[in-house]
Amino acid sequence: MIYFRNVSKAYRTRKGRHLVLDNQSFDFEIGHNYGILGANGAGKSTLLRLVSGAEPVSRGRIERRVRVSFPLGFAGTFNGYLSGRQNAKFLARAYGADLQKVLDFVWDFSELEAYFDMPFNTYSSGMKAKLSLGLSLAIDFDVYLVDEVTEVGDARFRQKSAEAFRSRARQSDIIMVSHNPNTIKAYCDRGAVLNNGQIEFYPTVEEAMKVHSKNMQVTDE
Amino acid sequence: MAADQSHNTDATLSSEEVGGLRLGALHGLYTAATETGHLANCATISAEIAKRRADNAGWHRVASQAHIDIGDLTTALKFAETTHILEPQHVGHLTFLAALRSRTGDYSGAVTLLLPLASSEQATSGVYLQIANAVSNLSRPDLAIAMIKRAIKVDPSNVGAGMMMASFHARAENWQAAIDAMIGTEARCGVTEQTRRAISGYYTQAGDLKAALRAIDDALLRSPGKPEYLLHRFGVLRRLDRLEDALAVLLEMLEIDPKNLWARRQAVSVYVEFGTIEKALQHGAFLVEQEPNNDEYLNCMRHLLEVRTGKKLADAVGDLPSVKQMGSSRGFRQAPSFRQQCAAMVHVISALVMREILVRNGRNRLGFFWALVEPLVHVSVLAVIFQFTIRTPPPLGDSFFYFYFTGIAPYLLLTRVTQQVGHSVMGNRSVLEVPVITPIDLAISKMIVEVFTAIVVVLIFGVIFQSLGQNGFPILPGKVLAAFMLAATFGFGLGMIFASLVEFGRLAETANVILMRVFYLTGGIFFLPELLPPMFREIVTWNPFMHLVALTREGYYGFYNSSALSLPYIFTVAIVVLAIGMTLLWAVSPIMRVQK
Repeated sequence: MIYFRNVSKAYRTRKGRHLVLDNQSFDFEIGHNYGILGANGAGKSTLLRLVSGAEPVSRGRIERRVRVSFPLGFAGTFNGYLSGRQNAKFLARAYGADLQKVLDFVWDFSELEAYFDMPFNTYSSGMKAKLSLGLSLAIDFDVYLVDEVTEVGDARFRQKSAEAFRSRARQSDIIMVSHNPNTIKAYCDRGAVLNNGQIEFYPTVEEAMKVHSKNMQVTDE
Repeated sequence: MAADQSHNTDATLSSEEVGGLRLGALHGLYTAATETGHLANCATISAEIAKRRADNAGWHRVASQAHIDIGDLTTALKFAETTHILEPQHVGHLTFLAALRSRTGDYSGAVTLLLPLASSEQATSGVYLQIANAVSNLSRPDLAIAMIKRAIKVDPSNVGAGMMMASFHARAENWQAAIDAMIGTEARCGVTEQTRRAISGYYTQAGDLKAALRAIDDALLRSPGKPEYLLHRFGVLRRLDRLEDALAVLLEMLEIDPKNLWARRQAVSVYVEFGTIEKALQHGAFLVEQEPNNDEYLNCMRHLLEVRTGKKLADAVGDLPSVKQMGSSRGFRQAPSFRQQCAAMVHVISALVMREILVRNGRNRLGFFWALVEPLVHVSVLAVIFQFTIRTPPPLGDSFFYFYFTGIAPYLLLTRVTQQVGHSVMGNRSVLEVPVITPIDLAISKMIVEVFTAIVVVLIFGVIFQSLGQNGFPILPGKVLAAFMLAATFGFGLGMIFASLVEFGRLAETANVILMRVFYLTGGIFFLPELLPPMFREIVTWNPFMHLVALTREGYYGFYNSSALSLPYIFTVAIVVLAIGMTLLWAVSPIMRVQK
């Protein structure tokens, strides 16, 4: 369970204060995959960062009774001077995971071979993504945060990551942000719509989509 | 004879055959050829007649036109030249010749012919337009525009002149002028489908897509289903992002002409944007069937098929929602206990410490070596300078080197901890993207690495002194340990204060440097506070660092008992600074996570 209690989140932009959440209370329940819909700039990614804890709230309280991942495929924390293995060890240690199990999984999954022991800044963007995806899947999180599904590698690798993801998702949950309605439909069973600082939850993705497209039409006119 | 002639009209005649006939017969044959539309015969016969009637301009003109019709422009030009020589005053012949010269690329020839006419009374708008066309090809658009203006003046109802004017502006990419020219033309000559089509094109280029759409819709009302107009309308709709309407246009075009490959190719793209891969594949298959060797179509199909397998991938995880609906196997988690929280913090800090050591040595293989050499050089330089400038022995013992070392060691520990902790958040913001890592973890890990380094350095120094026959290790290790612990605590507190303040401006870094300079100069590294005049001693004892040096020296020398040292004072300062530092860092932590 992830509880949001009276949470407000605003940040300053050049155009003034931007309100992402306005005194909202809601829960992400265990056992469900949530797809978050919202217009561009509504703050979907910020909401995801709030859930993870990488972003502080402006007001209110968030309580996490689960182990929440960092956004999937995120490579920003990796140090360029350290090898893939050393970076993997760092995150595995920080999350208190079984070091050998994590390293074995990442080695098998990411298919970096010799590059696994080369400095991270020698990697291509595809290799970086593979390493970070492998690492996210290697550590056992209760909730995986996905900010836009990034497609990595060839068809075979994508098949592999989809399968790995599916086997993880049996026990763990997903909170996902995507522009692609098909992706959300494929992964999520519940939907939420973020609009003007308000968030509404819906028991099915279809209902959330209906509301979302209605919102979009209103803003168009 | 009649049968013979009809036979002849069908066959293509050679010039030799024609040469044997009488003039009267030739006239008859020519009429027959024009009636049956046999262009080659028309040309041959009219050429023969023109040859026989060398002074007749009319027949030369006919022969010239006939050769234009069969595409033999060189011969046509010869006949046209003759018409002009035979009747130099005939405006029709003259403009005809000029047009032909323009067509064969002799623009200056055309202009020479037309210019005298332009200034005469007989000049029609057609003449001006011809000149405009020729001079524009001679890279004189300014003259061309002047000519078109004259053409419009002579004949305001000439649609061609107006459209030509607009196209000249368009060539210079002056779309607004082109639009204005077209609006003017429509006002003078009335609205036609061509003017509407042209204006729509210019609106598209100018970026006013809504006006462009209105114009092309008008044109299509006047001429429904014209492929070129439909194509343009599709382009406009596409740029307007009205994909469904654009698709409707394409389907209309395909209904009119199923073999319109261009429209079909566009339909594939639009279906792909809709995400209806199956439809896109159907149209793609038709394209490949029509042109099996077209690389673009083949690539397009290959791509589509790959996308379809990609969609199958999405289908592979497609049962996830139903899996979720069946309920999760994972139970609720209790809120973490204090022990679990501590364990998590230990995990994070140990990870950060390992990473820090690796990064330091990864960036610079000599990282640890420098940590060792720096104090050595520092102490040596000071010792050498004082040994040779001051003849008196050091205030304690007999070695300047040892005396300075006992002052520099706590100083390095204090400054390194302060600096590293003070920079820990600023320099590692990306690590804070991992939610489990907090600023306090960063600060603690930096402090641990620095203390560890300092201890190793002090031990190595001890070994060096010992091997040189001097006493390298403290007589009272407890006092040195206490001094180092207090220095680490004090530096940790200061570091956290600076780490918090630096979030509000780089001034904090300068303040840090100045504070350390004051500590360095007044801390008693080079002197003993006891030996100072009472007034200075009073000031110096306010410096917390002085007490750290005094405590260190008490430990190393054993016999030294500093009267300036106040343990309660330095202990209180260290604890208070630590408390302030922790409070500040805790308060500023949320801001540190905000991406800057």
